[in-house]
Amino acid sequence: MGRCFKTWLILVLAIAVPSCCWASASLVQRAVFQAVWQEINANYYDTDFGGKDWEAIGERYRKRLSAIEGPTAFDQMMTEMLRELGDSHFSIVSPVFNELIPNVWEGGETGMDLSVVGNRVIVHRVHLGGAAELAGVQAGHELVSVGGERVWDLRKRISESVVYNNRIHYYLMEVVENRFFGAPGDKVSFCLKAARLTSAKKLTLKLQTYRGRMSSQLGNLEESPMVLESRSLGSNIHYLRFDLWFPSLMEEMRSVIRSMDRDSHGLIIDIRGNPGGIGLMATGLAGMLVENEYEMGRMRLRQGHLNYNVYPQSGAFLGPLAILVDGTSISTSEIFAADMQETGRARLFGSRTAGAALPSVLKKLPNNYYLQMAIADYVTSRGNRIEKSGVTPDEVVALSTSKLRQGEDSVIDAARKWILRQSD
Amino acid sequence: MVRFLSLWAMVAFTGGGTTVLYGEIEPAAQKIFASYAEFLGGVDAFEEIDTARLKMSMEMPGLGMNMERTVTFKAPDKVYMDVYIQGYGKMRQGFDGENGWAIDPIQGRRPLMGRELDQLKDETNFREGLYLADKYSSARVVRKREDGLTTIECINADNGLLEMLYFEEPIGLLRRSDYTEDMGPQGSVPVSVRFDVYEKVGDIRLPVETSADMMGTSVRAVITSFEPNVEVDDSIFKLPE
Repeated sequence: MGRCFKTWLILVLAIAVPSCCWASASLVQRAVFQAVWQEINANYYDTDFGGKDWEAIGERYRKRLSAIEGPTAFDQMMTEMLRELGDSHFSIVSPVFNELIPNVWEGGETGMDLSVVGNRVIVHRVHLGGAAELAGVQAGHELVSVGGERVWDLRKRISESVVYNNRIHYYLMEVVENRFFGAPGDKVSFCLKAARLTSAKKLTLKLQTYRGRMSSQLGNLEESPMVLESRSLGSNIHYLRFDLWFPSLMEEMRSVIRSMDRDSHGLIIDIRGNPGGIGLMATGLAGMLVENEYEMGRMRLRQGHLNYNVYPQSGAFLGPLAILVDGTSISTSEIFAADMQETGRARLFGSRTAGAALPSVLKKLPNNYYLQMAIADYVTSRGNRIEKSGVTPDEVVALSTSKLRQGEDSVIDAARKWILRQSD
Repeated sequence: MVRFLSLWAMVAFTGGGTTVLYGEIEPAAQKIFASYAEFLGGVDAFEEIDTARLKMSMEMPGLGMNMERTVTFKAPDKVYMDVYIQGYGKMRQGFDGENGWAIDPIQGRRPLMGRELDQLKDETNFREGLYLADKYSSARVVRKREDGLTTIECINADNGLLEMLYFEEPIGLLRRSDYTEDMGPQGSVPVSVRFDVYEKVGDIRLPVETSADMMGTSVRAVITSFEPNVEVDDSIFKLPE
């Protein structure tokens, strides 16, 4: 009878939920505090808690509870406590986010994609006919402020919180993008600079109705917009980009890869800005890129382990493969990239990933908030951890703003040139 | 990738044994195993079931996930299972007596080979459940718990791992099982299962409500229907074209 639970075992560990960071207030703080502390105490993947005394940590924060006034202070305290563990994928998620992420997505679309370059937020892509294009936004321009808040100040506030340095890019994107959330028809004002030394120009865009793909609800993971872009880059090179590892995309990815010409020069998979999703998908996509079965990595649980196994699938593409990553490639994206690099199957381009690759689940708390909790450590088949260190590309290539202004993506370009050299 | 379990294996989860660590199945343990087999309906009742279709709902309240599972069996070893999870899709797995296969949204369609196939074949051995002594290499009654349950410590003959079974005597009703879920190439995880409700279906009994704890998460499984000796089209056991 017990063995009928295998399906869940696999699925639970398959969910490397996109990393969240922000805690929030609660009216039943003591209950939430105890539930969170107890969950971690009972289920943290390392019984030694990484050498930390979780009992003592709990006691210390429990004493502070009585002096806590207001939800913001409680948020801050809970975040601090979770950060004591030193891991990604520990957070409290509530329906009401704190002031750094105040808005809820209401179906409005800007028609542009942002990226972080250095410490700056840059317009990476502008969608044809979208709200951003209509407002005069151009790729390569720097976002200086949005809704009256300077990007520099937002970054400073994130830095002053307890976020780890290597994840600041990811959270900066979250915080900035959140300021563009709204309903279709809502207007958002912001300032852009064409180049570093030019003056900023104020623009206002009217959010359009989002008509793209949505992920479906999976357990406590709510529906969310997602993108899958597939196109030819010429020279018989194919480009595939997606921004969430979600099962409903898998069949289309399979079709894209199977439909590639047998004499294709190469494939570029772009997972920059992809925060993760269903961890098992990393093995599914890898199965379309290899011809032999192998173990991608291992999740070390508090007791026992689960493996990520790759099974080759029919119609796999076995030619040159380039994978694009950056500081906002997180979780499943890192697991996939690390494996493709480690096995020598792919060459990685871009910048180092965030180093937040622990499989986690979302658990409901007594007040309907959620605790995101890592339930396993992850190591690659060669025993390497990705957590904290991230994945460093074989070719570190910065996203060039000047190239973006010329309609080119310097990271794609580097990958493209490498693929062409392979076929010489 | 995802492995499922037949009704037969479900009934069998506590298997019996031969000889390894503790030497043998103690008579006291053997007696409880026999009582349990009798409680389930006995060998004759199961032998009369040539085909069956079982439907089960499973939920993980903490994670907000639900799953619907249908399993179709045909003696002696054919099995077909499909599982649907909202947001994830439908997974299918089958064994036609010769070839095992799996189709799921992530891994696509593929044959099951090596240890994975062996596991699937094992799971289609519906008689295993009634011969508990065949599953364990040793079993011994270790103590009576405060809650009245009798504990039997067993060593799984296939993987050498320890399993603890908790029986309600004298009827030999299995109430709980603590073991390591050995999933072969996919790893192994400790699981604790409680058998909350048994119900009689025809001449046999099934644990219709079960709950489990694993990796800090609770799972509840309910058998919603069981149809013995249904008409089954053999083609469902083969990998679809």
